[in-house]
Amino acid sequence: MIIISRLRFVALALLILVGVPSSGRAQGPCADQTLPAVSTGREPFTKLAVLTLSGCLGGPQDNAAVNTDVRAILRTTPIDPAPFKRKVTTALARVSTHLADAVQAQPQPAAALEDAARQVGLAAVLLDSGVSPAVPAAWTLDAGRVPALSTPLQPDLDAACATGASAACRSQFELTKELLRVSGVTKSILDYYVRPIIKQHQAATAIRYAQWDEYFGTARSQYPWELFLNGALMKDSRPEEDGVRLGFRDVPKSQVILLHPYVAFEYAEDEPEGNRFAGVVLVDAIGYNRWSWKPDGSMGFALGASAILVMGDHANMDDVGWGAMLHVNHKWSVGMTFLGDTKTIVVSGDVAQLWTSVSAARKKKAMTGQ
Amino acid sequence: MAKHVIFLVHGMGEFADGWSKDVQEQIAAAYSTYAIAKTLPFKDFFRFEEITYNRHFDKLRKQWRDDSAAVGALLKKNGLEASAVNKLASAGGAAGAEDQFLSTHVLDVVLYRFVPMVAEAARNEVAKRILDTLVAAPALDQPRWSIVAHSLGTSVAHDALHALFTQGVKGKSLVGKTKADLIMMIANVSRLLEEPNVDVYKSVVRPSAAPAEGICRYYVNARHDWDPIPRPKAFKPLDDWPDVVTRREDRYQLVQINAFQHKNIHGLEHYLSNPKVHVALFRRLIPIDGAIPKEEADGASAKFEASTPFGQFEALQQAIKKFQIAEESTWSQVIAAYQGFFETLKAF
Repeated sequence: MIIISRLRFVALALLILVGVPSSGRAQGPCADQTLPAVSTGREPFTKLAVLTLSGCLGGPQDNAAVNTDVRAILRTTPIDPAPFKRKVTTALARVSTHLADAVQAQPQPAAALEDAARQVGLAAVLLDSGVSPAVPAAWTLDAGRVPALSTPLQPDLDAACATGASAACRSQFELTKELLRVSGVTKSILDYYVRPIIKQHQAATAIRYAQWDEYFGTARSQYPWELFLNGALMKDSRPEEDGVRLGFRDVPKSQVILLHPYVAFEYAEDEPEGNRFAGVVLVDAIGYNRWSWKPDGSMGFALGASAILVMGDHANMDDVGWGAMLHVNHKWSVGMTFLGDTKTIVVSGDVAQLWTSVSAARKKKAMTGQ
Repeated sequence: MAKHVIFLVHGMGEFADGWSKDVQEQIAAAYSTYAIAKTLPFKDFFRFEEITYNRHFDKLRKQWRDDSAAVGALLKKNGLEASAVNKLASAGGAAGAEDQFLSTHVLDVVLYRFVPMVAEAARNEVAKRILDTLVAAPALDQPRWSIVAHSLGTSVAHDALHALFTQGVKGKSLVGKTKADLIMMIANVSRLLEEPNVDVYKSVVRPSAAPAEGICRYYVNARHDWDPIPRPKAFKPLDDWPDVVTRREDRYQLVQINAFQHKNIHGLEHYLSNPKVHVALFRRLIPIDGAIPKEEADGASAKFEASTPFGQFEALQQAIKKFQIAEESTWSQVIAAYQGFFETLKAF
């Protein structure tokens, strides 16, 4: 109670500072919040559920003072360096004040409102605990009930209105409306409270997402057998609890290259003039490529090497030879091959383009003959 | 007020952006046939977010086709097309072939199950989409959200949600911070494709009566008796899964159907056309007890069943009988059954 009194004082002080928009008349889907004329069975609760889902009870369309006050509190610009939790507890205190006033206004003891007040107070105390009622789901309408409240909302209202719009039905309708409003406001406060955690997860996921994009888009391409091999070699970085792995795997920082055929360029001094620079097929017999990750999920420097087999149509040399190749940042590759007694230099398409300024048309012709 | 977001996750095969347009229309149209639609119109209270997780599958297939074609062309030019290297490149190209059942449907499943890099990338697609949607909504008005996943998508969705909700970021997990209203698994293969150390019955992807536990309020598992895809290692939790209280509140529901409306009984649209399936969906999306009363649901089912006479697809039933493989089938049996089933459907 002492905590709630103090919070109530802070809430009022904050409201005076920021000013509170006055409650206006509800518009649109929120305009009619009265008991339906023909009220039997589920109709009254359905109407309240529709109002809740439309944001008219504790949502953005709700002009009730408790709702607008809470939204004003949570939207204030922080002055204090650590105001976040205080804003949330202040907002919850405002809901408690509202419920206390509602209890006072009842001619009879109002157990349902007192229970709601207790749960809101408990939510303020249990913030950070991750247990009900300090989680948004506890205040979300679910099959006609709000889990944090011990009052079964729909069953009670359906029963009270089973025989039509009696005084008991009307009274239960108003009580249920009030409880749904308070639940909606409390859910909004708790949604606001957990928001930074969701944003942190989003940021972490965005980094992993970018890393996988780089893995499949920037790292050296992999044929199916390389994918299976690298998959088998991939370490499972996830922690384990009770035999169950938790979270996402880290994105790899390396890859093994195996039997990977591709098209490259070869410079052979021993070949006739005009035929010295030509397209060849290279096979990375076995290799290894490694890189680092930058904090934003993009790739840092990458370096790799592989043992290669070269296959080309040569006039003065063997058609097939062996060699080694160095890969820098995945696509810049330079290597040396031995075709019998002759050495050649092989380069990836990107290096070829840079090195000799080969036109795209000539490059294509060299590769495909077209 | 933020509308309830329904994430749609596709199954195996090739799916481009916009794949769910027909599914969205089908769900909205089915919804409009129930009385609740008058007071709670679909377009005013729900919206869809389509998740396409197979970007990398398709990219790999294209890469294999292109690389293989370039190598093949140059070897041919050089008169070396008979070499072992050409065979190697051709093998890569075959894996990336277009419109081949093996290189799309089956390869997707195999890549997802046995290549963790492909699986993790797909899971991150799902996780990112969910978190981006939640963060895009106003801080004070977080939307309700649900997932409807189909076939391979059930495994991707399960694994993505398990990883997302058990990932610690600065020491904090998402359990209790946000909770799905419904996880609906249609032709569920999450157990078949589970990793050895992420048992689907032990994962956090479970409904819970307790607000701070579980990651969804309801879990609906829909299975067609004649659909062979979810048969091996079927998702069939015991009666105390996830716990007795949650089960008593019917928060886990098995929807078993057997009517044939058209030949592709594995299709998402085929499942959703059955009132037993879509009523289970709508009832869990609407937070009102009895939103679709039993009499109305029974009436819709009776009408549907009258339009799907049992004998209409008798020949198909006979033809696909042999693909109804056992619970503990080997991977080669699973792949053969899947391939046989889809080829039979194509031929029918």
